[in-house]
Amino acid sequence: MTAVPTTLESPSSDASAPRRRVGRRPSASRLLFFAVFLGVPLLVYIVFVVSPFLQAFYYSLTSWRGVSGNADFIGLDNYRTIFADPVYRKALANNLLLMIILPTVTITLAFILAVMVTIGGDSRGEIRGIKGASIYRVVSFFPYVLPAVVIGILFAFIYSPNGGLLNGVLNLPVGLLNQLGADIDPIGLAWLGERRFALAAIIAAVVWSLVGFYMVLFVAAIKAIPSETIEAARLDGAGRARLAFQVVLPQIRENVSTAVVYMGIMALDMFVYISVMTPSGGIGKSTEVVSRYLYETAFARSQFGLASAMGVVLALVTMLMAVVVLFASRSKEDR
Amino acid sequence: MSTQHESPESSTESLETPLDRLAASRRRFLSLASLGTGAVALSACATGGGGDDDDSGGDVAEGGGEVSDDNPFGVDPSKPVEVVIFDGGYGDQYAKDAGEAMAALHEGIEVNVSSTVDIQPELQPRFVAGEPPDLYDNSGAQSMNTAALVSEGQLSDLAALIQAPSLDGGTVEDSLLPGALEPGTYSGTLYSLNYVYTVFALWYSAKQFEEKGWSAPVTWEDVMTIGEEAKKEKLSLFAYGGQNAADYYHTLAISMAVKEGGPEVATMLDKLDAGAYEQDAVVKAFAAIEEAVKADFFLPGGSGIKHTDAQAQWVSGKAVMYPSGSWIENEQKGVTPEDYEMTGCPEPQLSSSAAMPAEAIHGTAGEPFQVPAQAKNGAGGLEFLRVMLSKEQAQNFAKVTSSTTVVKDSVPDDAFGSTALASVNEMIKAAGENVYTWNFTDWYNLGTDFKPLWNEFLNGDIGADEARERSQELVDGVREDDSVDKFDVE
Repeated sequence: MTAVPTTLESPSSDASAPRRRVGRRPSASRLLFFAVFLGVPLLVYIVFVVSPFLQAFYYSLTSWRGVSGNADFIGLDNYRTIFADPVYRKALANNLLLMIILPTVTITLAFILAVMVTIGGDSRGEIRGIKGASIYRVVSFFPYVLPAVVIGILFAFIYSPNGGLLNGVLNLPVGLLNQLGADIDPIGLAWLGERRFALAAIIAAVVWSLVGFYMVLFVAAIKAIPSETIEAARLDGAGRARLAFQVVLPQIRENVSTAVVYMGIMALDMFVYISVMTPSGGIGKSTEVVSRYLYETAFARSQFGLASAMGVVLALVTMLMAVVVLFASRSKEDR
Repeated sequence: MSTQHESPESSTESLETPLDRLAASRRRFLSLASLGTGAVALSACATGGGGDDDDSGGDVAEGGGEVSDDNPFGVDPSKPVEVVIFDGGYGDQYAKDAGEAMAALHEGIEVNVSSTVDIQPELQPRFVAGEPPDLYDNSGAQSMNTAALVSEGQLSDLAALIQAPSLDGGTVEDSLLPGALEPGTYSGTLYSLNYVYTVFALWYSAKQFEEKGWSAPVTWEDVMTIGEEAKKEKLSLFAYGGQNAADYYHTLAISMAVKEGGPEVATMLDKLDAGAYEQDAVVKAFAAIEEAVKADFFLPGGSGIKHTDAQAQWVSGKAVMYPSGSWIENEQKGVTPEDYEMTGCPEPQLSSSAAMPAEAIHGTAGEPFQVPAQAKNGAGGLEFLRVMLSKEQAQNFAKVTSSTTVVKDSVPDDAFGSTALASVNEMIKAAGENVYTWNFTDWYNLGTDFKPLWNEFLNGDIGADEARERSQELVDGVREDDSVDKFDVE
């Protein structure tokens, strides 16, 4: 939203000379140009983005049930209710936790992998990735092709306590030991049904599905770095880790910060993963997130006013996160 | 805005249990009660779409043909009849068969039976345009809000149907099971004919029971005995899908409580009484479940899985029993081993001094068929329903879907070789008038809250007392929330 005023201001400051302004009398074609390239997108933006947001904000101040036109104005009562609700606080806390863990883990992993397949290869001769880099680049992108719903269902099977892949793999050594005479009970953990593991299990699934995408993003960014800088650093004796974190990373900072914002927004949503893997928000609400709880409040309980308040809080948190990340990652010259 | 509140239940189908869907279809209808008579009276002035002066959408006009005992609604064979079926768990073959039977009954009549999985998106525009079908099955995740339809005078009164002579003699009403019409009746007017009859029971493998020398449990003590013996063989007594279906055991507990204390127990709950979960029978029922949890009678890992997974574990023999509605056989088709001999028995009594007999069942009707008030050939729609409610078509439904209809004696004793259907049939016959149900979970959509609560309870995280206290808090919360309209309970 902040982009709108800046784009409006910059042309006017250019065209400050009055002589040129005379030459730019609004002709039909110029009006058409403005109508198509400024008016239409702005209209679409206002109608489909701004107005629903304002509408949601209005509803968040009412007791609207969603089934009739009656919406009594009740001020900030909905906000008081949600912050007094332990489930909502738990959901918001989970979202904030996810907002920190998910981007950190995904982007660190994606960056390391990207470095491996671009500059991680032989330290003599031409700069190249590790052997078979091109295969890894393609293969690691595969999970991203699967829709989130499919990934949720897939991992629900993997985490199943009854013949799930994860328990199966963990039981391999157990079986081996038992063959040798030990008497250990096979592992039958319900990963999604344990308070300790449920959220971590879901995080693992999300990381698995997205790390390839961010890796490809970073690979493209690293390829765009002039190779002289890397070569020069290498000639000066920089090792791979130093190359990665002190030469490459600063040069792709913009890409990383964009990725952090994207991942952060995803972590504040998580609706699909959570509602597919733990449909009721997990045992003891251990995996509850705002978006799922909001959906339940609106569509199952028909408390649209309350749900709107939850949505408004989430939107504010999302915006705050984006502003903080983008501001923090601005380079020193920009400041 | 309008689309938001017309499909509140449109969440991903696989995440809903059949219990949720049954609850949703009942809740939609029942939520009308909160509108009160004023709203219904208003709607008559506002719409008038039905083309009659009746408050309630009104009676179906006669079809234009000759009225006789064989043709009670005066169906005109020259007018086509259009029927739309929800193509869900029961398919649409039964309706096509009924269409053929109707064509045979009225020579030359054209019967068009079509089916869809999205009732609302398909039919709503037709209602608005005043061109609805003559009969439709308002079911599924994308069904229409019956409460709204009734208050707008869009549905016909089905009184003529149940008063009409049945194809098998007697009136249609006489041919139906006790309680069959209740879920479709509002303020004394019948708007929906719920065709499918659901019995809640404890399900098991008759083959396994015979092998182990167990007999169907009558009291909770019997259940626990079976649990002990199963444990010796490293089997679990129960399986549960904690992620989305732990509330199946809430249903079991309340059912046992109603049997123990009589229908008043259900009335107290429906009234959201301040002491609803403090009733002796309810305390006993929760304690019974806790006993089973403490004895490790539940298949480990249930807290992390969904109902489909839990049910697969159960039919594969890892757990002995499962509480569910009679949809279970159909739902598990293709997963259940062929020689499993799935059989149901009534939910057990808590003690031998229970207020209701052991044969009493928790039963209710679902799958609402409705005749639009603006239907071009409403008489044809009623006649189609009359054909569906004949013994022949009801038997055909049972055969095609392994489910019972609201028609009495519609399943032959051999139940087409299905042990599950045969046991449902026996339970219905044995119960007679001893049928009970309750509504508060559906009316106030408490299933959403009971699922996570019961998952914790069955996982052993909380005890029976805390589970009851938290249930009572939920009930108190609804009762004290002025924004929630309450239903009158006699």
